[in-house]
Amino acid sequence: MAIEDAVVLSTLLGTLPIEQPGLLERALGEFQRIRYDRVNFLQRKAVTLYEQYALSDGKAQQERDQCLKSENMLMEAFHAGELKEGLGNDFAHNSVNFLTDVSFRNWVFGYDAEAVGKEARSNLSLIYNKDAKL
Amino acid sequence: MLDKVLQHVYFPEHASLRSYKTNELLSRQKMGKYMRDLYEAPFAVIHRYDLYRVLYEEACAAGVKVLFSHPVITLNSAMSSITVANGLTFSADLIVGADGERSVCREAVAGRTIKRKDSGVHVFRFMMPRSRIAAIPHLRYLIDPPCINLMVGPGGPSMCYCVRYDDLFNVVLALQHEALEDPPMLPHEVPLATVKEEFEGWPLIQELVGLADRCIRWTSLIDSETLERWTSKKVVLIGDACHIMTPWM
Repeated sequence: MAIEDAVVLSTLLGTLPIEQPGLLERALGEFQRIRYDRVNFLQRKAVTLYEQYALSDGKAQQERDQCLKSENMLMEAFHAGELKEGLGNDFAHNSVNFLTDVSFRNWVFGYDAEAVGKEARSNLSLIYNKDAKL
Repeated sequence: MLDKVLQHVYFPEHASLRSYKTNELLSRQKMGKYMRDLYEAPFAVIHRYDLYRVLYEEACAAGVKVLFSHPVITLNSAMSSITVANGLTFSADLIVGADGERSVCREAVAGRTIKRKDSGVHVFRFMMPRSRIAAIPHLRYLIDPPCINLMVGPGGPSMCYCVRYDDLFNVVLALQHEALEDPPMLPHEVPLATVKEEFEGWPLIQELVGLADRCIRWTSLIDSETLERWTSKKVVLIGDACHIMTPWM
């Protein structure tokens, strides 16, 4: 996440004319706005995962393990080409093994920090130009 | 920079969740080529020393002046300059506070003390030469093929994997405890006998601790309150300074 922060921030600031009064402050605010929800979600997700990892022996632990094993069977079948068409591959939704949770994984790994930063910079440039005209 | 980083990495072929008691496989995710094709990027493991060194060399090549051993003591009240331990002051057009979990910059931005508190989890870590694991046939599954193994069990996961740096095998253990009012802020060494005691009932960990030379422990910290603002006129926080992460992913 820190690397994402750095890429988003540096791309967003890019060649912005930060000597323009107020522009830097606005740009930094944009940075926070872009990143805030994403990192907070991940903070909470990490805690939720921990709670699942750390279960003591008992009913909840048995359910967790059974769920993981069932997901694993489906995944092996998927990789062996044995699953029928149309089932998709997001059968480990909300899995304790987050690397198998396709939608979550796409959300984590599919993030293009550079693209996000560029889009933000482009929006800020519009605002700046608008101010300059005034 | 990616090519330079990739010279120092390990590519796990799979990431596996196992039961702490029996090491039974619960779930395995194919990594390697499968992930690389899906996300058009490799999934790799690196020792942070190697990552920092590549970043440092690239920064220097880009003309950045890096000063070591100059800990930041304060941001001034207008927050456009910093003072370091030896009294030197630096003013700037922009201050990026990437000063981690014990961030000085965070408190300046918030305008008040924001305590980091004990998450209630200790993290233990030891490393050993990969060859030590390779020499034991029934442990080879931990390193061959290259992979990440995570043992789920009471009090928290244990994880092990290899890093390229010095050809080491890394073991990280988590353990719950009563949250301390004043948690230790730095890692410190703990006796191996203590680790063995804490992880009684984890047969694989017992065996791995038996192969270790030394172990360090630190306390995972979390925010006592959410930081609402990460920025001011010329200061921005990034990374652990504004969003401290627990190490479970």
